[in-house]
Amino acid sequence: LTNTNITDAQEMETIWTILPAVILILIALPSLRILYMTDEINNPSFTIKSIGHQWYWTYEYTDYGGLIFNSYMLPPLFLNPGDLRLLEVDNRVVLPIEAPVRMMITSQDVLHSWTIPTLGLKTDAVPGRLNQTMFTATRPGVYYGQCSEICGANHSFMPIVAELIP
Amino acid sequence: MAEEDIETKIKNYKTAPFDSRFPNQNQTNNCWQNYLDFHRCQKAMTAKGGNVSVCEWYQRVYQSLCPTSWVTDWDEQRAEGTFPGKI
Repeated sequence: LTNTNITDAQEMETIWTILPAVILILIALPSLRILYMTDEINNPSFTIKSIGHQWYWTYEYTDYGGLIFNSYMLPPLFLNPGDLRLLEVDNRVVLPIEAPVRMMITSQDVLHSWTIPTLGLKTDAVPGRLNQTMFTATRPGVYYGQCSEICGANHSFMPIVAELIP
Repeated sequence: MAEEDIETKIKNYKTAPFDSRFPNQNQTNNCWQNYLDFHRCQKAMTAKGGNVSVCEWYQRVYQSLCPTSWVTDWDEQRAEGTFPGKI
Protein backbone atom coordinates (compact mmCIF):
# COMPACT_ATOMS: atom_id res chain seq x y z
CA LEU A 1 0.00 0.00 0.00
CA THR A 2 3.04 2.29 0.09
CA ASN A 3 4.19 1.68 -3.49
CA THR A 4 4.46 5.10 -5.14
CA ASN A 5 2.78 3.78 -8.29
CA ILE A 6 -0.51 3.49 -6.48
CA THR A 7 -0.45 6.56 -4.25
CA ASP A 8 -1.01 10.29 -4.81
CA ALA A 9 -3.31 10.24 -7.82
CA GLN A 10 -5.87 12.61 -6.37
CA GLU A 11 -6.93 14.15 -9.67
CA MET A 12 -7.55 10.78 -11.35
CA GLU A 13 -9.43 9.50 -8.30
CA THR A 14 -11.66 12.57 -8.30
CA ILE A 15 -12.40 12.30 -12.01
CA TRP A 16 -13.27 8.62 -11.95
CA THR A 17 -15.58 9.12 -9.00
CA ILE A 18 -17.41 12.22 -10.20
CA LEU A 19 -17.75 11.19 -13.85
CA PRO A 20 -19.55 7.86 -13.22
CA ALA A 21 -21.82 9.62 -10.71
CA VAL A 22 -22.76 12.18 -13.34
CA ILE A 23 -23.35 9.43 -15.91
CA LEU A 24 -25.63 7.61 -13.48
CA ILE A 25 -27.63 10.75 -12.81
CA LEU A 26 -28.01 11.30 -16.55
CA ILE A 27 -29.41 7.77 -16.82
CA ALA A 28 -31.62 8.00 -13.73
CA LEU A 29 -33.49 11.20 -14.50
CA PRO A 30 -35.07 10.13 -17.83
CA SER A 31 -35.66 6.70 -16.36
CA LEU A 32 -37.68 8.14 -13.48
CA ARG A 33 -39.57 10.36 -15.90
CA ILE A 34 -40.52 7.33 -17.99
CA LEU A 35 -41.46 5.37 -14.88
CA TYR A 36 -43.96 8.02 -13.86
CA MET A 37 -45.22 8.25 -17.43
CA THR A 38 -46.30 4.61 -17.25
CA ASP A 39 -48.87 5.76 -14.70
CA GLU A 40 -50.42 8.06 -17.27
CA ILE A 41 -53.98 9.34 -17.20
CA ASN A 42 -56.16 6.87 -19.02
CA ASN A 43 -59.91 7.26 -18.70
CA PRO A 44 -61.10 3.70 -18.44
CA SER A 45 -64.33 2.46 -19.96
CA PHE A 46 -64.72 -0.37 -17.50
CA THR A 47 -63.84 -1.10 -13.86
CA ILE A 48 -63.54 -4.58 -12.37
CA LYS A 49 -62.60 -5.48 -8.85
CA SER A 50 -60.48 -8.48 -8.00
CA ILE A 51 -60.40 -9.60 -4.39
CA GLY A 52 -57.90 -12.17 -3.21
CA HIS A 53 -58.85 -14.79 -0.66
CA GLN A 54 -57.20 -17.89 0.68
CA TRP A 55 -57.22 -19.51 -1.88
CA TYR A 56 -59.38 -18.13 -4.67
CA TRP A 57 -60.25 -14.86 -6.37
CA THR A 58 -63.55 -12.99 -6.34
CA TYR A 59 -64.40 -10.77 -9.28
CA GLU A 60 -66.93 -7.95 -9.03
CA TYR A 61 -68.44 -6.13 -11.99
CA THR A 62 -70.37 -3.30 -10.36
CA ASP A 63 -70.41 -0.47 -12.89
CA TYR A 64 -73.94 -1.47 -13.84
CA GLY A 65 -75.64 -3.65 -11.26
CA GLY A 66 -73.79 -6.29 -9.31
CA LEU A 67 -72.20 -9.30 -10.94
CA ILE A 68 -70.01 -11.00 -8.37
CA PHE A 69 -68.50 -14.46 -8.63
CA ASN A 70 -65.68 -16.59 -7.27
CA SER A 71 -62.95 -18.14 -9.34
CA TYR A 72 -61.51 -21.40 -8.02
CA MET A 73 -58.81 -23.51 -9.59
CA LEU A 74 -60.14 -26.63 -11.32
CA PRO A 75 -58.71 -29.69 -9.55
CA PRO A 76 -56.88 -32.09 -11.89
CA LEU A 77 -59.72 -34.62 -11.71
CA PHE A 78 -62.11 -32.07 -13.18
CA LEU A 79 -59.98 -31.09 -16.15
CA ASN A 80 -61.04 -31.75 -19.72
CA PRO A 81 -58.53 -33.08 -22.28
CA GLY A 82 -56.41 -30.20 -23.47
CA ASP A 83 -56.85 -28.15 -20.28
CA LEU A 84 -53.82 -26.84 -18.46
CA ARG A 85 -53.11 -28.43 -15.09
CA LEU A 86 -53.08 -26.00 -12.14
CA LEU A 87 -54.07 -23.13 -14.43
CA GLU A 88 -57.71 -23.63 -15.32
CA VAL A 89 -60.51 -22.13 -13.23
CA ASP A 90 -64.23 -22.66 -12.97
CA ASN A 91 -65.16 -19.04 -13.74
CA ARG A 92 -62.92 -16.91 -15.88
CA VAL A 93 -62.79 -13.14 -15.73
CA VAL A 94 -64.21 -11.97 -19.03
CA LEU A 95 -62.93 -8.69 -20.40
CA PRO A 96 -63.33 -6.73 -23.63
CA ILE A 97 -60.41 -6.05 -25.97
CA GLU A 98 -59.52 -2.61 -27.26
CA ALA A 99 -61.09 -0.90 -24.27
CA PRO A 100 -59.13 0.61 -21.38
CA VAL A 101 -59.91 -1.58 -18.39
CA ARG A 102 -59.27 -0.58 -14.80
CA MET A 103 -58.63 -3.41 -12.34
CA MET A 104 -59.01 -2.63 -8.65
CA ILE A 105 -57.19 -5.23 -6.61
CA THR A 106 -57.40 -5.94 -2.92
CA SER A 107 -57.40 -8.81 -0.51
CA GLN A 108 -59.79 -10.04 2.11
CA ASP A 109 -57.20 -11.78 4.26
CA VAL A 110 -53.45 -11.98 3.54
CA LEU A 111 -51.21 -10.63 0.80
CA HIS A 112 -51.80 -12.00 -2.68
CA SER A 113 -50.76 -10.75 -6.09
CA TRP A 114 -52.87 -10.64 -9.22
CA THR A 115 -50.72 -11.43 -12.22
CA ILE A 116 -51.10 -12.00 -15.93
CA PRO A 117 -47.58 -12.02 -17.36
CA THR A 118 -48.61 -11.99 -21.03
CA LEU A 119 -50.54 -8.78 -20.45
CA GLY A 120 -47.70 -7.26 -18.44
CA LEU A 121 -49.77 -7.15 -15.27
CA LYS A 122 -48.71 -7.75 -11.72
CA THR A 123 -50.33 -5.93 -8.83
CA ASP A 124 -50.22 -6.82 -5.17
CA ALA A 125 -53.46 -7.53 -3.37
CA VAL A 126 -53.04 -5.89 0.02
CA PRO A 127 -55.71 -6.15 2.70
CA GLY A 128 -57.17 -2.74 3.51
CA ARG A 129 -55.71 -1.15 0.38
CA LEU A 130 -57.15 -0.77 -3.09
CA ASN A 131 -54.53 -0.96 -5.82
CA GLN A 132 -55.32 0.11 -9.33
CA THR A 133 -53.88 -1.16 -12.54
CA MET A 134 -55.00 -0.32 -16.06
CA PHE A 135 -54.51 -2.01 -19.35
CA THR A 136 -55.85 -2.12 -22.88
CA ALA A 137 -55.64 -5.53 -24.48
CA THR A 138 -55.46 -5.73 -28.25
CA ARG A 139 -55.75 -9.45 -28.94
CA PRO A 140 -58.62 -11.77 -28.02
CA GLY A 141 -57.81 -15.02 -26.29
CA VAL A 142 -57.35 -16.71 -22.97
CA TYR A 143 -54.61 -15.41 -20.71
CA TYR A 144 -53.29 -17.22 -17.65
CA GLY A 145 -51.56 -16.09 -14.51
CA GLN A 146 -50.87 -17.30 -11.01
CA CYS A 147 -50.95 -15.73 -7.58
CA SER A 148 -47.58 -14.08 -7.08
CA GLU A 149 -47.36 -13.42 -3.37
CA ILE A 150 -46.98 -16.26 -0.90
CA CYS A 151 -50.28 -16.66 0.85
CA GLY A 152 -50.34 -20.01 2.55
CA ALA A 153 -50.69 -23.68 1.77
CA ASN A 154 -52.53 -23.30 -1.56
CA HIS A 155 -50.68 -20.27 -2.87
CA SER A 156 -49.75 -22.22 -6.01
CA PHE A 157 -53.36 -23.26 -6.57
CA MET A 158 -55.23 -20.02 -7.11
CA PRO A 159 -54.66 -19.12 -10.74
CA ILE A 160 -56.08 -16.24 -12.72
CA VAL A 161 -57.65 -16.75 -16.13
CA ALA A 162 -58.74 -13.80 -18.24
CA GLU A 163 -60.83 -14.40 -21.31
CA LEU A 164 -60.56 -11.45 -23.64
CA ILE A 165 -63.36 -11.16 -26.14
CA PRO A 166 -63.97 -8.78 -29.05
CA MET B 1 -72.79 22.81 -11.48
CA ALA B 2 -76.33 23.06 -12.85
CA GLU B 3 -78.63 20.23 -11.90
CA GLU B 4 -79.27 19.09 -15.47
CA ASP B 5 -75.53 18.78 -16.07
CA ILE B 6 -75.31 16.40 -13.15
CA GLU B 7 -78.25 14.42 -14.39
CA THR B 8 -76.73 14.19 -17.84
CA LYS B 9 -73.46 13.10 -16.29
CA ILE B 10 -75.21 10.42 -14.27
CA LYS B 11 -77.17 9.30 -17.31
CA ASN B 12 -73.98 8.95 -19.33
CA TYR B 13 -72.10 7.21 -16.54
CA LYS B 14 -69.81 4.42 -17.77
CA THR B 15 -67.37 3.99 -14.93
CA ALA B 16 -65.56 6.05 -12.31
CA PRO B 17 -63.50 8.61 -14.25
CA PHE B 18 -59.93 9.63 -13.52
CA ASP B 19 -59.82 11.74 -10.35
CA SER B 20 -56.81 14.03 -10.18
CA ARG B 21 -57.00 14.03 -6.38
CA PHE B 22 -55.96 10.38 -6.50
CA PRO B 23 -53.62 10.02 -9.45
CA ASN B 24 -51.57 7.04 -8.28
CA GLN B 25 -51.92 3.35 -7.74
CA ASN B 26 -53.44 3.55 -4.28
CA GLN B 27 -57.14 4.24 -4.78
CA THR B 28 -58.26 3.43 -1.22
CA ASN B 29 -58.97 7.07 -0.46
CA ASN B 30 -60.83 7.52 -3.74
CA CYS B 31 -63.30 4.82 -2.69
CA TRP B 32 -63.50 6.17 0.89
CA GLN B 33 -64.01 9.77 -0.17
CA ASN B 34 -66.81 9.00 -2.61
CA TYR B 35 -68.56 6.87 0.00
CA LEU B 36 -68.36 9.75 2.46
CA ASP B 37 -69.40 12.29 -0.16
CA PHE B 38 -72.49 10.32 -1.10
CA HIS B 39 -73.71 9.98 2.44
CA ARG B 40 -72.90 13.59 3.31
CA CYS B 41 -74.71 14.76 0.18
CA GLN B 42 -77.67 12.56 0.97
CA LYS B 43 -77.81 13.84 4.55
CA ALA B 44 -77.51 17.48 3.50
CA MET B 45 -80.07 17.21 0.72
CA THR B 46 -82.52 15.41 2.96
CA ALA B 47 -82.10 18.06 5.65
CA LYS B 48 -82.72 20.86 3.16
CA GLY B 49 -85.57 19.02 1.42
CA GLY B 50 -83.61 19.01 -1.83
CA ASN B 51 -83.35 16.49 -4.64
CA VAL B 52 -81.33 13.51 -3.40
CA SER B 53 -80.88 12.14 -6.91
CA VAL B 54 -78.04 14.61 -7.53
CA CYS B 55 -75.99 12.58 -5.08
CA GLU B 56 -76.24 9.50 -7.25
CA TRP B 57 -72.95 10.31 -9.00
CA TYR B 58 -70.98 9.67 -5.81
CA GLN B 59 -72.92 6.47 -5.27
CA ARG B 60 -72.15 5.19 -8.76
CA VAL B 61 -68.47 6.00 -8.30
CA TYR B 62 -68.09 4.28 -4.95
CA GLN B 63 -70.04 1.28 -6.18
CA SER B 64 -67.64 1.03 -9.11
CA LEU B 65 -64.52 1.36 -7.02
CA CYS B 66 -65.18 -0.09 -3.58
CA PRO B 67 -65.26 -3.81 -2.85
CA THR B 68 -68.80 -4.76 -1.83
CA SER B 69 -67.53 -6.26 1.43
CA TRP B 70 -66.11 -2.88 2.43
CA VAL B 71 -69.41 -1.16 1.59
CA THR B 72 -71.38 -3.74 3.54
CA ASP B 73 -69.10 -3.33 6.57
CA TRP B 74 -69.36 0.44 6.43
CA ASP B 75 -73.14 0.31 6.09
CA GLU B 76 -73.31 -1.92 9.18
CA GLN B 77 -71.04 0.42 11.09
CA ARG B 78 -73.21 3.38 10.19
CA ALA B 79 -76.27 1.50 11.37
CA GLU B 80 -74.53 0.67 14.66
CA GLY B 81 -73.12 4.16 15.07
CA THR B 82 -69.51 2.96 14.96
CA PHE B 83 -68.61 4.33 11.54
CA PRO B 84 -65.23 6.10 11.79
CA GLY B 85 -65.91 8.70 9.10
CA LYS B 86 -67.64 12.00 9.67
CA ILE B 87 -70.98 12.23 7.87
